[in-house]
Amino acid sequence: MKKTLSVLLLLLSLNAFADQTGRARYLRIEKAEAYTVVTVLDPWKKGSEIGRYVLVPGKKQVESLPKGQVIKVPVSRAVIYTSVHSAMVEAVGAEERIAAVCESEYLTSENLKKAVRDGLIKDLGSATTPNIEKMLLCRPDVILATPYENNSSGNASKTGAPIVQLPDYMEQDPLARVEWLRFIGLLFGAEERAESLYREVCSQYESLKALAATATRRPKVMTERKWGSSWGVAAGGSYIARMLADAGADYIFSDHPGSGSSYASVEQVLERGRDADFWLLKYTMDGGRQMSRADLAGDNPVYKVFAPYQKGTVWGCNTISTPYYDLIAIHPEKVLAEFIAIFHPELLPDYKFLLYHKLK
Amino acid sequence: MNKRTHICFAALSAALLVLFVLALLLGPVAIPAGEVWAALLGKGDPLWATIVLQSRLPQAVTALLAGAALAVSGLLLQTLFSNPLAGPSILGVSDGANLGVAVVMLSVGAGAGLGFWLTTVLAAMAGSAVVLGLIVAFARRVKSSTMLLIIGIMIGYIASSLISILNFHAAADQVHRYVMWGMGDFSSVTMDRLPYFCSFVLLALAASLLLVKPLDALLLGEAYAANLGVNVQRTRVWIMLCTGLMTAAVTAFCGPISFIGLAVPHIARLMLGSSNHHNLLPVTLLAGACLALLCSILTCLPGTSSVLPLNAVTPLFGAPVIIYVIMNRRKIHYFN
Repeated sequence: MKKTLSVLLLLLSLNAFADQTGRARYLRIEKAEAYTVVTVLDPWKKGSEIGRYVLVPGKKQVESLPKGQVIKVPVSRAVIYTSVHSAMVEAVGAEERIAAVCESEYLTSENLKKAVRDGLIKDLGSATTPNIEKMLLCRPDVILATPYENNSSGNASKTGAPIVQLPDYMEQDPLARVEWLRFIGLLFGAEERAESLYREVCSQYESLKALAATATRRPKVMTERKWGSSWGVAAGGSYIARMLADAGADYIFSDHPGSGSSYASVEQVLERGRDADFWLLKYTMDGGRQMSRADLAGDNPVYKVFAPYQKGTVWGCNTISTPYYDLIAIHPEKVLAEFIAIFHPELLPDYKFLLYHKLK
Repeated sequence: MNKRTHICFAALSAALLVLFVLALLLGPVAIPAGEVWAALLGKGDPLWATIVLQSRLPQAVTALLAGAALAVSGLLLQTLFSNPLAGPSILGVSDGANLGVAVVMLSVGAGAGLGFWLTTVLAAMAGSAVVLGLIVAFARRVKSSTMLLIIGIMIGYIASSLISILNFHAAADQVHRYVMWGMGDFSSVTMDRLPYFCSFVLLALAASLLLVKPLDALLLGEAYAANLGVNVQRTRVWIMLCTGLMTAAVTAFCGPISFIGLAVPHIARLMLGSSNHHNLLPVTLLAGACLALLCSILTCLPGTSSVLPLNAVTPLFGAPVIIYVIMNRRKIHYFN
């Protein structure tokens, strides 16, 4: 009996894997005949929900609907707060349904930037205090917002449009974050495209991960820089830590408690990272300028004592001039490929880097 | 010097030594005392040597000097304005320095390197000098010291709101950097910046020690000081130069550090039971260095992985002292 049960469980888990669904921890999609219920769970409070949305296809007349905010789909005029979500909408091919965005300077897609310049997409200013009058002028039928711990959407409710909260950035598995594309697909009537994109990303990620597993050596990797008195690090439970492991590397803070970004003291980073093989860091420099080793040492001379600095194995990514944040959310397999190409160049010969460059 | 003064000097010097040694011994990474000593002599494990020489030693020296400089600035301002609640953070002098730093960090942009830091020091000096000048100008017309403090706080608010406006238009990365700077940090002075920081601070501290006589005369009132042959105008200018340089150097390198400048002169007066600058100024200097070292040690206790912001610790020591002084002002003779 016990044996059959475990075989059954194994089959079930294999089945779940083949289906590629249910990775996202804070997203539940339940389909009924006439509608779809999407539940967004609260990443900060176990067992509670941030939102429950009932997506009803426009033409259908439904008598009784379950509890939740009703949204007629597909939506046609969306207001989007975060540039990553705009990129997700573009990824499912629904960019012409974006009516307005906040902080358009963070958009990385040339298409979307051009649409903002041409006035097809309006810019509502800061995402924390969007211009509410301009938003009303857009007549949105949905607002995609990013919740932070303990915040409210404030004024946006004045538009009367449903506000969809997307805490996808809180997912701890890079592929789980991609699964949120399914929700975007449902909202914008691009369900199939979103599903196939999600499947493709998953399968490519898994095969790259399998490729990295063949590497004979796991290099030691440190990340980021000192901010104020502490060093910003990705915690052991974060998806960056996971991706570094999937790329066949040993991350120096893989045991650091937490699941998002965290801090460590400089002493700890010195202790663990002084003899690291690689150092990956993100930075922002205007005009797409690339950071050099001299810039790094000028910022803080302590950096010079780390082995990657001395060996010239520091890799940087300018997050203003590259689509790093879009790719990490929509195409983590492309970021994984960059990591593998950095740590194990023999596995991906002739790889052309999109994001990272070696600091000269 | 009476017996009490001797005890004060002896106790503070011993405390300073102990705290300095503790600052080198304690940290997030456990290093045996023998290894710390070996590292200082340039021997021993290279990793530990790096931690001690690149991280702990510059941080301890910075804390010592920054604490001394802020405390002496506070004392000079309290005497200059004959106001026991004056201090660089209350009179808006630090806010002026902040504004100077914000202009460089947020509008000039993401510079790095020594040149950038020296520019921020100059900008901070310009900012604190402007605020000090304004306060002195107001001091001529406003006789009440409470009112003058309120004017200082108002000038501080104006500087802060200008900083908010700059923040609003700056790139996220620059804002992040500025916010982190604002939390106060003795670790930002690295080994190669330390000589510059030391020379600014030591220069101003030495100049302040030369001001002891005119400061004592000022305690008796400006008219009396002038009768004693003190050039009041020149003394004012010197006090402002010294406090401006010290506040600006510390603020530009370590961020706006609260309460040390305000509280330490009172701790020193309570210890000495006297307002005579001949003893008060060196005791303030030593006590400031001790308190800053203690705060610096408390920000990164062994066994904790993250580092507390400095400004989360300094008010815990500073604020109760000020409350004590206000509550007991009738009993504390230097108020009368």
